Amino acid sequence: MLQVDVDYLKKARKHRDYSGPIILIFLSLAGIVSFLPLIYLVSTAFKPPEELFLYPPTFFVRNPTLQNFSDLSTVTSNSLVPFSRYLFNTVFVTVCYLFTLILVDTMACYPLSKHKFPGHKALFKLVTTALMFVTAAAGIPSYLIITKLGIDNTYFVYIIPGLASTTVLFLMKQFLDQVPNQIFEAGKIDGASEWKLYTKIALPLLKNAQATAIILSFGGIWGDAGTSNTYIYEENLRTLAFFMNTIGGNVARTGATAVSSLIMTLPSIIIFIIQQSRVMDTMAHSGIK
Amino acid sequence: MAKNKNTKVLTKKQLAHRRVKTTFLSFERRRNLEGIVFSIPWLIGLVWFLFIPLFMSVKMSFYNVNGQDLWCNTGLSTWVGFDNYVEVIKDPEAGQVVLNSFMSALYQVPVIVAFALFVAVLLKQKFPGRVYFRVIFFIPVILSGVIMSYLFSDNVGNISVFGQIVANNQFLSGFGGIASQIGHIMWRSSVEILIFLAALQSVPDILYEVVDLDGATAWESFWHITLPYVSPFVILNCIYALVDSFVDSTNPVMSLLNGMDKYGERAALSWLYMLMTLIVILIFILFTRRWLR
Repeated sequence: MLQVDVDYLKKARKHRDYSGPIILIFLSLAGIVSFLPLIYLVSTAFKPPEELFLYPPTFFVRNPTLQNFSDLSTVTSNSLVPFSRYLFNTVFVTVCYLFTLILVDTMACYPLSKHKFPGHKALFKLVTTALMFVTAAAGIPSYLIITKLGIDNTYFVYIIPGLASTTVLFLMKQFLDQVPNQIFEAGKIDGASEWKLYTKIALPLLKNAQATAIILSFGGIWGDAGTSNTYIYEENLRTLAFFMNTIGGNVARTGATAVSSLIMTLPSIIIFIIQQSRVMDTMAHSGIK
Repeated sequence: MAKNKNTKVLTKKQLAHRRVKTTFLSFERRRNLEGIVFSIPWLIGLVWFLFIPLFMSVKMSFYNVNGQDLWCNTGLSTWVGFDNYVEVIKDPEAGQVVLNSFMSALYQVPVIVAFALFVAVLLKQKFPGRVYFRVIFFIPVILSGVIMSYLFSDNVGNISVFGQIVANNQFLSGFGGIASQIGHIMWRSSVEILIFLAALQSVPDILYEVVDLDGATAWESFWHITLPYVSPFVILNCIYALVDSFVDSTNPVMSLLNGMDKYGERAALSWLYMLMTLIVILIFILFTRRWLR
């Protein structure tokens, strides 16, 4: 007969039971710390002026008011161009950019992963090293190129320069690599053209990767104030992020600035919460940002 | 009759043969062409907006670049050889900033990777609310870049948020700088956490069951099973964290570069900096290569 030391097993059981709560406590603490900046931003948005300039600053708001919000709305109603125009510009540019980005980058990843044309390996190596380039080196030259192309002071300047994203291509390629080749071969035997294989097989299978790419790129284009500042000379082509930045830099408007930062941050979080399950899936599969 | 059939088949074969011969594009060639056509829009973007600017900046680093050359389309005129590089190396301020950024990377990278591995191991355990915690640790990735700079910038206050929080606590006020560092590290380790989480999925559960039956503690199973399995990813994450800390937009070198007026020196410094980054990463890979397999 098998002899089992019951006491020992019980002890071992008990010993192991502590790990659960400890993990929970540690993770909650760490999670709270990474949430702190957000919480601080929210609480600052509701602070009255006398609390905003308190030193040392308080973390939580004591007498919450909506004054900062009304301040912001007075600022926006006095702007050169109606607020709705800035909002339209940002939404329009963001939607166009994300749509073209997904189209261009999925199209590029399809042959890289499933079509192996000569030189595809060298190209992919180039992509991975391109992640390491110091883009500050290319600042002035890209300005020259953009002005030479004549796309400055149009909507195109928001959209075109960022399309060839190495990060997004990398993500898409990693994901498509895990789709078995046989699916595409079956499609080919049934007489599908390359375009059909791409639109009917590759695109639907990359849905989760697309959601991830959208979430990762959304913050960049939504909060992009630099492009408006550098390449756009007409006020009615500038974006919301640029306008929100012009509000800042004035001590009297510190509260309004906090509210505007909050407004700029919220869409990213909302989009993430909506798409969260898809993204976590992609992350676990491709293992890359 | 039989003869007739035979000739028919032959002619078909011949026809097929001839068609293959006469088409300029063989099957293989056509496939390759189609592949290239699909990636052309992306390639044009890459060449036009990344490679050409980079090439131009290499060129600029060997010239004395002034405003007139740039904006009046006269082209670069004064070739100065390596003068820009010499000037940058001689500049004590630039050297100090670059050295500082390397030093901070040196202590931040191990902390980030260790923290990320720790959190990933915890997040892999089965406990209630696991999905929510995973989401919490992932949120910095989405808020990264522009949005995060809102949070850490001068918009809401002069010092960073974490310094402010502890500034009003008498016990912790001395640790303001450290707390702010910890916050930064946690915000930057989220991608590494995700990579580790993905790597941990590949460790077979049966191994843990076996050592559990043998009476190993969680500590022992971590050192003898988890770590050997994820060691390639530890190195990958180290490289990722190194690159990330070198090209991060909050890096003081970046603000130094963006503030430089002499474009030639600016280009020279950024290429020197990139070269040094590459050397550091190559040395690291050289030393860790035997753990990669």
